[in-house]
Amino acid sequence: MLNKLLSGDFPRSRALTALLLFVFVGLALAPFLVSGARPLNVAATICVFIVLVASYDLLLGYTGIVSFAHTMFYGIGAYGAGLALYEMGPSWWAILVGTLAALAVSLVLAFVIGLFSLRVKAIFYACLGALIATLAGVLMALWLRYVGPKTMLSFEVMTDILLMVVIGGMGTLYGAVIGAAIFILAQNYLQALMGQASAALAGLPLLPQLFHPDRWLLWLGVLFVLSVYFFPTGIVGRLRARAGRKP
Amino acid sequence: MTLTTQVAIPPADGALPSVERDYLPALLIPVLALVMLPLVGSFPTWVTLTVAGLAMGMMIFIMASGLTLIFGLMDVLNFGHGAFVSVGAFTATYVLLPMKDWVQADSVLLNLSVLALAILLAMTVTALLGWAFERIIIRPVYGLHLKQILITMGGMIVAEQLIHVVWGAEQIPLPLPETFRGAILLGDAAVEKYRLIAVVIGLAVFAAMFLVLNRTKIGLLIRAGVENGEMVEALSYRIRRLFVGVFMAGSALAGLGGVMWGLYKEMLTAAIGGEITVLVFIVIIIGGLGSVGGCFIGALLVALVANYAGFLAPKVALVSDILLMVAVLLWRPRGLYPVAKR
Repeated sequence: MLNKLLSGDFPRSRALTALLLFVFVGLALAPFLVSGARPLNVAATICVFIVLVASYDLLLGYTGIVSFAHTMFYGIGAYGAGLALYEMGPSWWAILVGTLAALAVSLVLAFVIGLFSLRVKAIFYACLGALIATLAGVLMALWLRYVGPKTMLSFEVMTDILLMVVIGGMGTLYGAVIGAAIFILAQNYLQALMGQASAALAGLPLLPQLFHPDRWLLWLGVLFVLSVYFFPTGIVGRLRARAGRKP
Repeated sequence: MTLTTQVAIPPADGALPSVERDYLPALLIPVLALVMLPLVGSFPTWVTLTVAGLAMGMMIFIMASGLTLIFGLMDVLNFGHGAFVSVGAFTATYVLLPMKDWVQADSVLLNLSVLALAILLAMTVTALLGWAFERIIIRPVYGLHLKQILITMGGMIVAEQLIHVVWGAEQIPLPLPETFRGAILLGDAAVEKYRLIAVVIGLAVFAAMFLVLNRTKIGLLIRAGVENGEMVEALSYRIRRLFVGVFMAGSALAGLGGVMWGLYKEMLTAAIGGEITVLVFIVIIIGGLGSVGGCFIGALLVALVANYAGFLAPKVALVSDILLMVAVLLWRPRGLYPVAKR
């Protein structure tokens, strides 16, 4: 049963299995374990981004196609749900209609773009990735109860997704879970840590600025560059390689 | 190429076979401008729009020319090119902010020299940075396109953050020298003075690049490297050294473009380079990847179309760059001046 569900593609590393279970249990129990809006928001954002990043991984990791248009489908999903709810009032029916309409638009667009820019190469992956990204967009719109170009369609969202895929591990899908969890945790909590480091380093030249809470993306960027060099298969690939070496 | 290909050998005493020049893309610019004249309606407005478009095109060309050379010669898609634009603009503040007296002086000579100083410093810094960038970021990933895209994007993110570290997170106002402010009247048409300066500098850069590429040995090697790098290597030239030189020159040009662009915007944010990157890529794709002439015409076309569209149909202006690219690629799928190798 489990074998069938995972298509025989197990984590193949104890550390990775433990990490994945930890993320899964943590996310599942988050509403019961923690209180307050912020941790819950972090957990929900991780959930949505796991789906979004996995859909991008289908394209980048499995076919090697670099697309910077992935947030478009995410945005279509979000706007589809948002507009339907705005026009029809808050009902399950509106969500269903909005989602279906968004899926249809995404499918047509993905097909047309795939036909023109990729010439049938990997067109199935492109369409599948687009549809899943659309669903992630719907989820995000429902969670945020707000839709805007900056949160859904900006280029920053695209670079974030790229960072998550590569840091987690391209072409593994498990990498999406790890990458999204690490990135969004860092986005929310690394800042507090860096604030303490910055305060501790106060008075020294340049160092406090390097550890300023707003510079968290600097360190993730460095991590990104290093991971492209030294472990192009990301955290997941690294863990698997380590597990593979010792029999 | 097969062995049976017949090569027409020119007679030994005859002149070299002349190269057929392709003037069609270059004609697009005057044709576009003339077609727009009746649509715009008023002649002074048309002059203002056209000069503004040309100036903007020149600035975009300065930023894009380095990228197209780097791609043509080194086959490197540098998504971090925008970082050099930002760094160039921010470096200029080291000259323009402390030397306030010269900036505010009502003297063309002082204003020009302070601008020249700022440009010189910005180009030096970005050239050195380009040298480091090539060494650290790009050298390990020659020939690997996917990694190049990922790693230069990463380099761009890191560079943007480092700008925040060095220059602070706030926006920095960049003062335009006193005598470059305002507009002059050509008949009834108002033309901003700074735009004229941008046109002059852009033309100078284009002329210099054209001369270096077509009249010097270095230029010959670069052009040969674009066409067939292995052959240049086989003739015992160190192509790696050429790579470094071109990368530094390209980065310095981006720095120069950054100073011009920053003065045009008069307000600096760390994202200034990232914002322009997409436009720059559109321009070099329109021009034909690797072609300097194509890049020049592409930049002018993009800017002119954006300006006319902004006046005639503001909504269309949002997508005019993309529409222009689609139209050009439908006509010439590999850009206006395709480079032979690709």
